[in-house]
Amino acid sequence: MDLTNIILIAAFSFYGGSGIFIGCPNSKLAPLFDRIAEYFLFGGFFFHTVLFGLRWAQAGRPPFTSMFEALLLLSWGIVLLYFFFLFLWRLRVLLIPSVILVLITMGAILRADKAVKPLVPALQSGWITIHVVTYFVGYAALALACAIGLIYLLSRRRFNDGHVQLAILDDTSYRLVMIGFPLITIGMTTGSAWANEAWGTYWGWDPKETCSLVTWLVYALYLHLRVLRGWKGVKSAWLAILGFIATLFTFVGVNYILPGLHSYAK
Amino acid sequence: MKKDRISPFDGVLNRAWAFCASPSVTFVLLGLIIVASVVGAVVPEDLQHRVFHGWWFTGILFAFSLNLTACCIDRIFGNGKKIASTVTHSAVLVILAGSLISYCFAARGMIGLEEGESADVFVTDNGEVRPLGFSLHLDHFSLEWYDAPQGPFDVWIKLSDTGVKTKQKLGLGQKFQVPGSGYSVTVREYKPDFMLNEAHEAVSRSSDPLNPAILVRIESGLGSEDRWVFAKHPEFGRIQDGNCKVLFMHEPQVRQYRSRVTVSDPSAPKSFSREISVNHPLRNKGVTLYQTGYDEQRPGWTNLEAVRDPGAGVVFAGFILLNIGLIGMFLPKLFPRKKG
Repeated sequence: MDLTNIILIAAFSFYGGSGIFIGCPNSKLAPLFDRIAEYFLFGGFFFHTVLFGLRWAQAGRPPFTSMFEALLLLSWGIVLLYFFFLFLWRLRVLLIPSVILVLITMGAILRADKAVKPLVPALQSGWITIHVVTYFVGYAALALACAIGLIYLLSRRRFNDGHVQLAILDDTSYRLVMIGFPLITIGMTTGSAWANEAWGTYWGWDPKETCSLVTWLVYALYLHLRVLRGWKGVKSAWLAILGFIATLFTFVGVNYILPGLHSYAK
Repeated sequence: MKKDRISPFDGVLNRAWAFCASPSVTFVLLGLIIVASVVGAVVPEDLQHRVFHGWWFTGILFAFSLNLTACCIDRIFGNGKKIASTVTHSAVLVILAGSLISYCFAARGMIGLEEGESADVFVTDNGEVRPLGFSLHLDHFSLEWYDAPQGPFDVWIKLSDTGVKTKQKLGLGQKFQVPGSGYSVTVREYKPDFMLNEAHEAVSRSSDPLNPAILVRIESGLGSEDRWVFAKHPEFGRIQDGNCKVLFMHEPQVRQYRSRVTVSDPSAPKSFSREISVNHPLRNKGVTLYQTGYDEQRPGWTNLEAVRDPGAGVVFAGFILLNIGLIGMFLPKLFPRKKG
């Protein structure tokens, strides 16, 4: 077994340990279990970061091109955001969705082709780092916003409207979109600048570009409806879910269904 | 100066202005742009141009620009404190203005050159001949490949009689026994650019993978047979009375392609030499030259794209403003200042 697989399995094991502790039945020990889950999550994050460094060294370039590397970055972004929310705002509401999302993503990573592939000429650019990192940390924020939206909708069965728990969920989802939206904007605009260097046009209505614009517009609509029309709670949760469906299609679906200049991103 | 009477026309103008600056109109237009973009993304490629360059899509964008302009003016005169929001929305207008400039005035076309040839014009997609404003001479063109693999090689083996199909990664000298049959396959040699020399010996013309081939040995009850199998010519892979077919799956990958050019400008004192490659275009006198193509069958031939786009800079200025505006909008919301 090579070093990549060993570190990957170590990261996955720690994340799995975290999953076991958040899955423990709700009891008086729940805060303790959550704290242990957090330590496991941190352990997984450590190995995850080491794996990134190793992959970078092995490939001799930023590891952001294959589906394996993209999922690695996405799941890394999810855990990073969890600790960001924890240290800045002492918010632990993201623990369960973070662990579940990271386990789903790591499951896909274990099945993905791990071969280091040579870069096509268009991908050999300094723009790749800022374009991909901002996009995928943005996607991580939007994935978490969607998960929190789902939890909000499910929690309405337990809590009445106006309950503080629902307000925290709604506010967290909004904060995540406020982080994710500028990040995908940076990703989209740097991608456009890069396209201008590589292909001679800053916007070519390639399916991937068009879908990324649609995703951006859906979140722009989310923000405007929330600020100008007071769409909070249920409506906001549904919009966060809709936005992430658009995100998911832009990230994965378009590569397989709509061929274009970005077809190498399979 | 204070007006003595309010004209009935003022009411109409106010209502028209309120309509133009209405967020409801913004929501409808954003929804229309989303729907139109989805339609444009899913229709076949040859119809996309009709959607995104159609009068109705341009009309929606124009209406959106008017709405955004009215909203920005309202914001500036209504509440001067929302600077970041105004910058963000104005940035979208700048981007749309830049796109309009590109749409109206950008010109792009191809230049195909052999080594030693020169060009001072480019031909646009419409067939118009446009001057470059300088002379371009192709000194040298080079095509670089990723190192050819020394194995393992992707080998497909198909047996007609038993219907067995199997894909294997085989290294040089490695023998593979095809399950459920008496056949075995061994890769014995690899030539990245196969050719036969005058003595009819297999040699490699170059180290570039221009005609990759492997020599395989098939052993079965019928005996053994050596055969060259070519990645680009799968028709040569049938062996052993036509029962066994071996395919070599290999797609050589280009690392980079570069054109070394010399630019001569009658108005400039000196000519200069520069390299153009993918992601490294050459900019001179408002024209950008991109490395776009090559032809494997014509060594020393390059295809460059010439683009003169006065709107691109405006669009990028809009991008910078947009990012600054968004960060200015959301950072204070995420990290509000503590009062007192």
